[in-house]
Amino acid sequence: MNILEFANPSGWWWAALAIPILLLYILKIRLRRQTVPTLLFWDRLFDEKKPRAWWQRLRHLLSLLLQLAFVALLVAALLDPLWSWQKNQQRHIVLVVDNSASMQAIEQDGASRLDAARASAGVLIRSMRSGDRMAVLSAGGRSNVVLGMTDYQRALLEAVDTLPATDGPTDVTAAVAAAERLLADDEQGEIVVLTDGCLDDLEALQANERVKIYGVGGPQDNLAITRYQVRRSLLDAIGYQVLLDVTNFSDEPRDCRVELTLSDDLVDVLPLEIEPGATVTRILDHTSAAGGELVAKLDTTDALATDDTGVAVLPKRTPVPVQLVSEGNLFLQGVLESIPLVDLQVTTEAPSVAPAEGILVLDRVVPQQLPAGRVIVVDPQGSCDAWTLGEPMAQPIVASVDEESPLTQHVRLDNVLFPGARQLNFTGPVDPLIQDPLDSPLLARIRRGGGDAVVLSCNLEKGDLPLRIAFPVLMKNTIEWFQGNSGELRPALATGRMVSLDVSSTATDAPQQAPVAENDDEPEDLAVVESAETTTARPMELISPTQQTIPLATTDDQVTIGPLLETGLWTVRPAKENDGNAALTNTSAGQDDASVESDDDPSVIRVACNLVNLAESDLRPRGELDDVEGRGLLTLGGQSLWFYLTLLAAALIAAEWWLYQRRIVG
Amino acid sequence: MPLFDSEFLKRLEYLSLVSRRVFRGRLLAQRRTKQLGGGIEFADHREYSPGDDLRYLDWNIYARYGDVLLKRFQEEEDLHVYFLVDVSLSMSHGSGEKFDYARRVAAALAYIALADLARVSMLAYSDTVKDVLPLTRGKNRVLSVLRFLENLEPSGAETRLQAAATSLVHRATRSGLVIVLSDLYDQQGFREGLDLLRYRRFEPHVIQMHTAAEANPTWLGDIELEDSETGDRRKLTITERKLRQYKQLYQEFLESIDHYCRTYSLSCTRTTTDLPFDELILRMMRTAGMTA
Repeated sequence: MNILEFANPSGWWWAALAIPILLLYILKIRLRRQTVPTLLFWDRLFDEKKPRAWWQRLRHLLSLLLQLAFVALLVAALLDPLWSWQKNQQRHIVLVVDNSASMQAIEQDGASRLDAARASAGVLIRSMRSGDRMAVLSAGGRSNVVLGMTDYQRALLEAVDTLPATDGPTDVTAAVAAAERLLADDEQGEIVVLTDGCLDDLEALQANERVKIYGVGGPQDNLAITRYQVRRSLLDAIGYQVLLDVTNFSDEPRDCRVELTLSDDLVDVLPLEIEPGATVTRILDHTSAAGGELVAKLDTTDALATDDTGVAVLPKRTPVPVQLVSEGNLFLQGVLESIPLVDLQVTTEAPSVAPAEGILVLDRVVPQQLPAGRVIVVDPQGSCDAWTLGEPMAQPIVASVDEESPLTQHVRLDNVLFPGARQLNFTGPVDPLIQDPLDSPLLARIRRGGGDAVVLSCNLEKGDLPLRIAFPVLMKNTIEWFQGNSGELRPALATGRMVSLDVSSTATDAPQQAPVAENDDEPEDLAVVESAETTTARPMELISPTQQTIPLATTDDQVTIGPLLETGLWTVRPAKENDGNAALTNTSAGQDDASVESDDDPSVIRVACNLVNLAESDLRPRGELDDVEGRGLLTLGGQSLWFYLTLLAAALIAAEWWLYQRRIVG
Repeated sequence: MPLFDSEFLKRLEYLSLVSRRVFRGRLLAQRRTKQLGGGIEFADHREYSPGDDLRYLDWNIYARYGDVLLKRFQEEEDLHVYFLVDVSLSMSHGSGEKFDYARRVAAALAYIALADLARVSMLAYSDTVKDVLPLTRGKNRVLSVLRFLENLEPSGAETRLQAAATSLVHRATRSGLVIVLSDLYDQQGFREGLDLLRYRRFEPHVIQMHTAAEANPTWLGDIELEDSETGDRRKLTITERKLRQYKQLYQEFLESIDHYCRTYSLSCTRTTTDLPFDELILRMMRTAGMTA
């Protein structure tokens, strides 16, 4: 059994280098001849210290032997000799590359930390021996197996080179856990992590003996937006309030300005002075209700650009046209006028169709044919196509409230009397929302093709319902339910987070709105049915800030997106017909498609995504990390002979050069 | 290309004119021998001794002081200029530039001397005297001098200035100026030859010439050196240190020439072959002008 084997037997070819060395040696011993005018001076020079003859004879031979020894060491190193126990012990390595947001920081040399990590990974991959296997995992946002166990270095290098940069948070711990699962069957397997050290659980990782962590990049100062959210203003019913945190991750105080722009129009500029390590918080009120993209941008140049910008989506608060048909009801009119964004119009004649994009409120007036569109009927005094008016109720007291319905949220009406309420015999399907003890509906939602209707059977002037807080809440819920998602404020997400979105605005369960009928004779039911069919089965797609299109799976009017690994504005929209089965695409066509969506389109949902991560924005490593340069995988196995042979060869050639300079060797 | 072409002759004439106008009587022109005799220019007094010619008694001094002194006059004679031209193989080393250079300098100086009515003789030597140009006089003899120099060939097994000096001393009927043109790579040492000339009341003027490569060799490593005169060979390993030592040794050799000449008040000119020969002549004239 051979004690020593060679991992790279083709290295024997390099032994041919000895041939030219021998030829040069033979040529070299034939001295060149030079004629001089006189030998007087040379004789005097060398007579003082005559070279020893035996040494003169040997010095050329010694030079030859040194050069041959150098070639021998070089060939031995190229052969990559392995001890027999090493040969049997092939190494399995899982390479975890941190591609989180902090790895996008630009170093002093102009390259990003991720570029440095790629270069370091290349060093590690190229130092693999024959038989070694390696897998590549990413640890940005969520751990992901980029490439499974393989010994094909080219594939590994390609996987590392194409590893994308993300704006997600570091998740090295999860990646290491995944790596340990990959190496579950191999106790000798090793995990190598390439990271910038900007992770809070670094010490715990370093304590893991199986994990070797190599660092890239050095400490960098950074100024970052660490919190950026928008909410409905507590002072202004239709305005917004902005919360902004800016943190100084450096050892020096910093001055900066924050520019706030709404749809590219400059809104405000905030000058900030931030002490080292401190966070400055600003809350801005009275932000415009016009809607659009509210972008906060730090006017500073630092190592990490991703956290210098925050974006939030402000939905446009468009007024809702509400037509009240009444002979005069101060309670109802007053409540409707108090609801923000309601554009109230009071008439006495009931129209045949509800206002476009609006709501028709019928107070005690009931036409024979309930008008198409979104209709609220209060205290109906007659029958129509949707119901037949019955007898007054004997005990019109509230017995049950459907708390699941959005219309009755925050409505407390237990034991409240609804005087004047009458029995309604509905001709179609209804959802009773408030019922009396006999389960007769006092408030009901009527499902119909021409637009849903809500009926409240109660004489407002006789009872105390208008005096209760529940009444304006009920009316506001009803108006907002009819509006659907329009104007709903979605909080900005942090990168790496997942979110479920309600996409019912494109489904059949949403309150139906009839198209504006240009011709009253046209059968409206038919038009509504076609519309419902076209919106039911459409799949959704996700458009990233860089216009990449990702198909989404929709379940029960909910779509889950994330983890979002890119800052900016994400868009969820119904998929185009021709790319419903498309995988991830990034085409100019997709870009065009994304750009044609308007803010007013209710089928389009925009989600803002920001880094806002203290750990990622702090670009100072949490501990001392080794540099991978020059180490390769040697430190993994430890006893590779070729490295020491190369060192010996380098030392030998240096010694030969030194001896030659002093003419000790020829 | 001939050694002495028409251009060369023009430059000789130019040098001759310059030597007359600017350095009149300073180099070779109108020089007198140190012999005292029957000239007309007063030189010295000496005690009268019986038998002296009474016509030369200085009667004025006798009348004033009562001392009997005889007036001595400088005897005017033609200056004898001897050229000892080294034709050893070391002079022709490489492309023979030293040899040509020596011949050109000798021709120039001889031309100037002949133009000033001096008598010129030349001896070509290496280990022995190889050729001799007898004493000649007059500017019209320039061509024979040039022909003599042109016909010289490098030869000899070594350089021996003493042999040439001995031969000159034996041949010369009168003492005079001896111009030695050589690299002075004399295996026996150049001093003996110059000493002999000094002892015999000649005035030696040494012109030592060498090439820049001889003073600053650049070879390194293992090399076999061959003496161009003796044919001896040495296998040597030349290091940077040895090169430095060689340059120092060569510099000491040059300085030893200077030191010897200064010690015995001899004129000495050292030059490399890079310097044009006419510039060398002018430099010699300037030096003579400053010291004469």
